[in-house]
Amino acid sequence: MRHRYASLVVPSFSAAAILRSRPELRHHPLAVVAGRSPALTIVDANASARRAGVRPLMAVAEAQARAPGLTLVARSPVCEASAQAALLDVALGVSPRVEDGGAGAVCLDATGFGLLYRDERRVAEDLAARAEAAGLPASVAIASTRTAAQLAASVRPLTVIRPGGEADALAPLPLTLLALSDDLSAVLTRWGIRTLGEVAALPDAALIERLGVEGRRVQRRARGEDLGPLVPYRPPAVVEEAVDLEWPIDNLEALAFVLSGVLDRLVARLAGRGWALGAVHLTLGLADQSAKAFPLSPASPLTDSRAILPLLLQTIRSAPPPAAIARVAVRAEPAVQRMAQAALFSPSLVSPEQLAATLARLEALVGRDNVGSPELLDTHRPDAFVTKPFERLPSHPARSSSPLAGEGCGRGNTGPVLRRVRPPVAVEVGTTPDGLPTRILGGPWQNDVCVASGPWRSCGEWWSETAWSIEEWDVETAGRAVVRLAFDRLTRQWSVEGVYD
Amino acid sequence: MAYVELHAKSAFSFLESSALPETLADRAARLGYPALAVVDRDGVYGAPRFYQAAKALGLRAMVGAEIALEGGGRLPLLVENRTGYQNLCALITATKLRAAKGRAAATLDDLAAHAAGLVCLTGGDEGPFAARPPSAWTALFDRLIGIFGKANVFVELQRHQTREQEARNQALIDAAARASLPLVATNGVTHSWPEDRPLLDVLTSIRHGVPLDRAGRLLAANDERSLKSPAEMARLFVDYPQAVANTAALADRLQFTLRDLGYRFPDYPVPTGETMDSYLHGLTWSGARDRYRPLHEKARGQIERELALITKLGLAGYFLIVWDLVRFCRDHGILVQGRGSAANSAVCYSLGITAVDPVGMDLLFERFLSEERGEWPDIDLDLPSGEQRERVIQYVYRRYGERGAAMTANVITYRGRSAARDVGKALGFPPDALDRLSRLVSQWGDFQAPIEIDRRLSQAGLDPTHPRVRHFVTLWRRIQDLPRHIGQHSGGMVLCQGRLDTIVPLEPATMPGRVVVQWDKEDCAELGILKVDLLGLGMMAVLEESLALIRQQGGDVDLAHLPPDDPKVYAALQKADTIGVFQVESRAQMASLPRMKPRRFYDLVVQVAIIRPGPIVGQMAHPYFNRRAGREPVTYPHPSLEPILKRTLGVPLFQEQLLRIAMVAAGFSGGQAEELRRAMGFKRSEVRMRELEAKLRSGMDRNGIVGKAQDEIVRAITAFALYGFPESHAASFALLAYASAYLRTHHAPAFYAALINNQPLGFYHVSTVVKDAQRRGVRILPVNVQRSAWRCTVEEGGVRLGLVCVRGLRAEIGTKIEAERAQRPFATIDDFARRTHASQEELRVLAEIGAFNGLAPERRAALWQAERAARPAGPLLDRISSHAQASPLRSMTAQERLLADYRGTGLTIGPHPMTFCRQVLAAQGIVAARDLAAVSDGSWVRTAGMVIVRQRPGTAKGFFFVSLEDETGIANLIFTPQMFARDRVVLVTEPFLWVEGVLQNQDGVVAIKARRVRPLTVGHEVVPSHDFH
Repeated sequence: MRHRYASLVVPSFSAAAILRSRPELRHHPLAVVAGRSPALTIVDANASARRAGVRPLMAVAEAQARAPGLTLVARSPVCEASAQAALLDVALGVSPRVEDGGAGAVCLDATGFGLLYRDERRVAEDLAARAEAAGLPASVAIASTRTAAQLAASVRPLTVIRPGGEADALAPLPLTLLALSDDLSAVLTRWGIRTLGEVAALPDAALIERLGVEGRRVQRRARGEDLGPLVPYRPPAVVEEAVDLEWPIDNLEALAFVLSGVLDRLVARLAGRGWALGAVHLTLGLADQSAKAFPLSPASPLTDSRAILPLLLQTIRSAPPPAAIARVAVRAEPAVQRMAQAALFSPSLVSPEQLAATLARLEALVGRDNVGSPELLDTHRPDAFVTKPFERLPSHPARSSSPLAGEGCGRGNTGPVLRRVRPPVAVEVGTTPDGLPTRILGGPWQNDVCVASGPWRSCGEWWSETAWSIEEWDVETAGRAVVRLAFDRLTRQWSVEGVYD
Repeated sequence: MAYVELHAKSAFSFLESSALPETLADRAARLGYPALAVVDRDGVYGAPRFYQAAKALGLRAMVGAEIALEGGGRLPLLVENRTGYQNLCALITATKLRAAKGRAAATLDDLAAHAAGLVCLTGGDEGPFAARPPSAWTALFDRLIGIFGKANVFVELQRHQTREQEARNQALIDAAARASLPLVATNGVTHSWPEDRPLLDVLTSIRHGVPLDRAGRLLAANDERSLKSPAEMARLFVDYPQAVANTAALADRLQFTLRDLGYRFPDYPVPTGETMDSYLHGLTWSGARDRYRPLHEKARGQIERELALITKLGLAGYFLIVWDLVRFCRDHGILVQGRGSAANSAVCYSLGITAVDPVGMDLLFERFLSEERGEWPDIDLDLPSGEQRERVIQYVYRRYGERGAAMTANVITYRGRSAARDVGKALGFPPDALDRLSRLVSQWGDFQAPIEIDRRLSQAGLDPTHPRVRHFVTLWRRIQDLPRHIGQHSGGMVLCQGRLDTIVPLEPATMPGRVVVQWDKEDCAELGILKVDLLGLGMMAVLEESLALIRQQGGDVDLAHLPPDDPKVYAALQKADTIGVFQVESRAQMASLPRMKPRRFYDLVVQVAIIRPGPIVGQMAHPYFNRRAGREPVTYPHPSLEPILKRTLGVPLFQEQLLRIAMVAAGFSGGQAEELRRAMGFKRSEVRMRELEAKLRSGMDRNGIVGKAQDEIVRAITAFALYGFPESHAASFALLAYASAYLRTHHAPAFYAALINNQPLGFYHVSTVVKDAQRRGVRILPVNVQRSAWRCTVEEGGVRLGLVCVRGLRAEIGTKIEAERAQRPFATIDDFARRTHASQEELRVLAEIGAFNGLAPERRAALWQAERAARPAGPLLDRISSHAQASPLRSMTAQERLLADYRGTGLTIGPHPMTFCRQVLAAQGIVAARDLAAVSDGSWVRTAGMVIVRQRPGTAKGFFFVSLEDETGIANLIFTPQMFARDRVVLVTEPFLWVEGVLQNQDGVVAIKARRVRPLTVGHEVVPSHDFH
C-alpha cells in the first residue's frame, strides 16, 4: 500500500500557544516579543495583529504604532511546550505513528485512513477539528511524503495532494518555507530563485557543484521528497494517576483513604520500571471547578507509599483547599532509587524517609519559609539573612565541609559571641544630648549604661521602600550585661538587638 | 584643632567619587580648610580643575594619587615638592604604559625608583593594608619605610563608624606603635556632602555593572565619607588627637601646587647665529613679501605689531614649531590649513600657517593673542583625515620624542541620554522604561519646572510619583557633567621640552602607538602647556585627492591661487547647487543660499557662519537676509558701532564683532574683551558674568552710551557670546567651501571621484552624491574588475567607480586585483578567483553588482559561475570546463539590478528607483522635484520620492524636515510637530514617501509644507538615507 502522511501545522505557533492558555485575547491584536530592550523584537503575532501590519522582527514601537492597543506578551517556552504536547496528543489520537515536527508541526502516518473515511479530505477536516478542540487552530495537508504534507500545510488550511503530484503541488510555494540557512538563502535570493519549483528545476549536478550536499538536500525537499524515514514520537515517561470522586469529599480521613489507593498504584507502576518516586504533584480538583496543587519534593527518592502519604497529608493540612474535593490527580516524576550500603564503623544516619517526614511536619508547623538553612544576604543591613530549603541528601554521606572542622578554625575569633534577639526587643533608652546611651529603660536589660561603644552606622536601600538607617551601640550595663542596642534613625526607635555572651 | 583633609577623591577617580573638583574646593573653603589634597585613583586627572577652583577660593591645592599596587590595594601618595610631582607622574606613566588599559599596578620596586619627594599614607578601605592579612603588615611597613624613609610614611586612620574598620584601625595603631610611625587621620572622602551618598551608590553600581538592588556590599555602608569639618574630625579622633594634629603638620610640608609645574615648551633649533626671535622675524618677513604683493603699509604695521608682542611674550618658539609642522606637510604633499583664531594673525598668514589674509579682512588680532591673557595662542591645523594626518602625528612623535609629545585627553562626561541610561539601569528600570526615559531626557534640554517634568514623564508612561522615578529625576540632574571615563582627543597634541611624563602622566590610547595625557585641552591651556590641534578634515582629503586626480589627467590647479569670484562657482552657489560642497551643502544651507545669493568671498564667510544654532536661535538670520534684500533698513544699536557692524548690515554675526563692541563701546582692552567671551562660554560663571557686566556698563557709561542703547548692547553681547561663530574660523571654512565649489564646478569628475573615495563625509549618502553627479552630466562608470582601481578614478572624462565602493571587499583583495590585472587581464571568473583569492562572499558581491561584466554575459550568469569558482573542485577536475554550460538562472530585471546595486555598493548608476513608477505617479498628478520650482507659491502640490535625509534639529522647535530625491532632483518637505507626532512611524521608517501640501516658493527657495503623507510602494527594499532625528 502506498504510504500517506498527514501534517498538522499551527500558524503563528508562538502566538497560538499563548492564546491557548489565554483565549480571551483571541480577538485582540497580540504580539509575542523576545529579547532585551533595545533589541526587543516581535517574534510572532496573531491574525488580528498581522492584519494591522505587525510582522515578526519588527521593532516594538513600530508595531505599537501600526496596531494601537496591541497586547505584548513575552514569548513563553512553557506554553509552547504544552501546546506542542497537546498537538502531539491530537495526532496520537488517530495514529500510533507520529513524528514531532517541532514548533507547531506534527506529522502522522495516515496510511489506510481511506478505509475509515470516505475520502482523505474528510481525514484532514477531522484532524483540523480535533486540533481546534485542543485549542490549536491548525492547517492540515495530506500527501505521499511527509515533506510535501508539511510544506503544503504551512500555506493552506486544508490540502490533499494526489499521489505523485507532490512536486507540481509544491512548485508555486515560496522558497521561504524551507527555513534555509542565512547563507544559502542569500545565494538563492541572488540567483533570483523565489519558489520551490525554481529550486526543483535547477540541474542536479551543477547545483551540487555549487551548493554541495546542502543544496541537494534543499532541492529534494523542494521537490517534496523525504530525506529520511519517519522518526516516531515517544511519549514521556511521566506517570500520572487520577481518580474522579463519585461524591465530593471534605475531610482528611476520607481523602487519605482515596489518596492511599492512588499512591499505591503509582508507586507500583514506578517500581515495575525500577524507579522510585521523585517530585510529586498532587492536584485536587475542587467542586467549585477550581483546582489546588500541592507540589512535594521529598528529600530523597521514596519507594514506600506509606512514607509519602503522611507527607502529602501534612502538606494539605497546612493549606487546606477552599472547597470540597471532586478529583484527585497525582503526577509523579520518576527518580532513581537511593542505594546505600551501611557502614560498619560509622553511626547510622536517620533514614531519609524519617527526615523528610520530620521536615514536612516542621514546615506545616512554622511555615515553609522558616525551615531550612540560613544564608546571609549581600547587604550592609544588620542581621539580614534568608532561609534556604535544605538541599536533597547526597546518596553517599560526604565528609563534613564545615569550617568548624577545618584547621585553625576559631583562631582570631576570640571576641565575645553575639546572641541575637529575634525579633529585636523595643526599649526606651536614655541618652546624653550627643546621643550617647546612658540607661536602658524597660525589658530584662533595664539598667544604667556603664560603657558604650559606637555608634556603628549603616544605612542603605535609599531607593526602595526597604530603606534603613541604623545606629548600633555596644553597651555594658551596670548589671554586667553586654548588650547591642540599635537606634533606628528613620523611626526614632531604640531596640535591643542582641546580647554578648 | 587644625585638621586638613589629605585624602579626598574627586569624580576624576572615575565612578569612585561623586565630588567634582570644584565642589570639593568649594566645600573645603566653606569649612575653613586652608588646603586640601585631592588623591585620585591612578592619576592626577582632576588636579588642574581642582587647582584652578582652589586658587580662586584661596585654598592650597595639594596633589596626590592613589597608586594601585601589585598584590592588591592602592597606596595614597602625596606630593611634597616638584621632584615628588615629577616622580609621581613618571611612576603613573611607567605603570600605565606597560599594562593593558585599566590593569596598571605598580611594584614596590617601581615605588622605590620614584619615591623622592613623595609622602606615603597607608590608605583606608581601598588601601594595601586592608587588602592584606595583618600577618603581612610588618613586612609591608618595613618595605615602605625602606622606600620612602621613616619621615615620609604615615599610618592612616579613617573612621566611617563601622566595626570592621575600627578593628583594623586598632591593629594598625598597634603596628604603627611597634614601627614608631606617626598616625594621621583622614576621611577617605568620596563625596562632598552626606546627601551625595546616593549618587555615589549609583556610580558604584554603574562601575560594577549591577543594579543597586543587587549591589549589596559593593555599596557604601553609610554616608560617612563626605568632607567633614575640622571640628567633626577632631571629635571623631578625640582619642588620637595627634593623628589630627599631624594632618596640619604634614599639610605644611606639602607645599607643591600645579603653579610649580615646571613646564617648558620645546626650543626650536635655529641656524647658528640666529635666535628664535630673529629666525621667526626673518621667516615672517620673507613670507609676508610673498603673500602680500606688494607688502603694503597696513600689513607691515600689523606684522610689526604682532612680532613685537610675540617677542615680548617669548612665543617665537611656538610659532616656529607650528611653522615647522606646516613645512613638513608642504614638503610631503599634505594639504594643511590653519583655522580658528590663528587666522586672525598676519604672522600666521605670512608663515603659511593660515590662508586668510587678516589684514585684508580686517580681522581682530586680539582674538588670537593678547598680552593680558597670559596663555598660549591656539593654532589648529586642518589636515586631510586618515593616513595623511597620521603621518603628521607620527612626525611630531619623532620630532619631540616618545615622551615629549602626546595626545590630549577627552573627558567623556555624563550628559542627557548617557546619564539617563546609566542612572536608570542602576535603579533597575526595565529595558523598555530605559528606552522611554533616555528618549525623554534628550528632549528635556536644561531641566524645566518640576511640573513640566512630571507631565512629560506621564506622557512617557512613567508614574512621576513613583519613588524610583523621583530618585531618577534627582540623580539624573546630579550626575550631569560628572566624568565617566577619558578618551583621546581627536587631534590635540601637547609638546614639551624634555620629558612630558614629568609634567603630566601619560597613558596608552586605544589606538596602538598613541599615548594620551591625563588632561584635556582646556586643562592643558589653563596650565600653559603648549598644544597644537591636528584635526582631520574629510574635505581636505577630498581636495588633496582631487588635485592628484587632476594632475593625473594632465591638469594643474593650485588651491592657493584659485581665480577669485569665479562666476560659475557663484552661480551654482546662488542656485543652492551645492551637494558635496564643504559647509554649505546641508538642507538648511541650501534653503538660505538662494536668499543670500553670494556674489563674493565675504558673502560665503557670512553664509558659513549664519546657518548655525547661534544666529538661528538668536534670530539673527532673518534680519540679515531681510536687510540684504532691502526689505528692512540697516540700523545700529549705537552710531559708534557702525564701523564694526557695517559689513554684516548691523546684525552681529561673529565673535570678533562682540569683542570689538566691548572694546569700542565700553573701552575694554583686547584681552579684557576676550576674557568676556570666555566668561560667557560653556563654563559660564554667574559671579564672573555679573562682574563683567558691571564693568561693561561702567565702561559704556564713561563713553556716554546709556539707557536703552546700553541695555541693547548688553543684551546682544550676553545673548550672542555663547554661540557666536568666529569670523576667522568662518573665513578659513569659507576658503575650503570655495575651493570645493570651484573643483566641483570646473573639475567635476576628479572632485566627485575624490568625494566618493572619502565617504562617509558630509551631509548626504554616497548614492545621493552619485545621482547629483549624474544630473550634472558627469558620466559614472560602473565597478568592473577589468577596469576599476581600488579607489575611484577619472576615466574617459567620467568617474570610474573603484573597488572601494564594493561592500565587504577587503582592501588587500582590491590591491591584489589591481596587481594581477597589471600582469594580464582576467580571462574568466575562475581565473579571477584563482589569482586574487577573493572569498566566496566577495565573488558573489562582485558578480551581483555586475563587476564581472565582460567575463560573463550578465549578472546572474556571473553569479552562477562565481558560485562554482568559489568552490574549486581540485586539480584533478580543474581542466574540465563547465563554462560551456549555460546558466539556468533568468537574467536580472532592471529593478533587480537596482536592488543588487544598493545591496552591493549602496549606490546605483542605473535609473533612479523613482523612474520605475514615474508614469503611474504622473497620472496621479505627482510633480517631479525639478518641476516644483515652476509651481507658484501657495499652490497645493503632490510629490513623491526616496527619502535621503530626515532631520529634526533641536533649534527647530519640533519641526521635522525630510528631503526626497527622485530622478530629477531633490524636494524639501517640512512637517509640523503635530504631523510628526501623528505620522511618526511612516516618517521615520518608510523609505519612499508620497506627500501632499502647500508649496512655498520664495526667493527661489522651494519647500512643501506637508499636510498629508503616506508610504509609497515602489517595490523596493530599504535604500539608505541619512537620518538625524
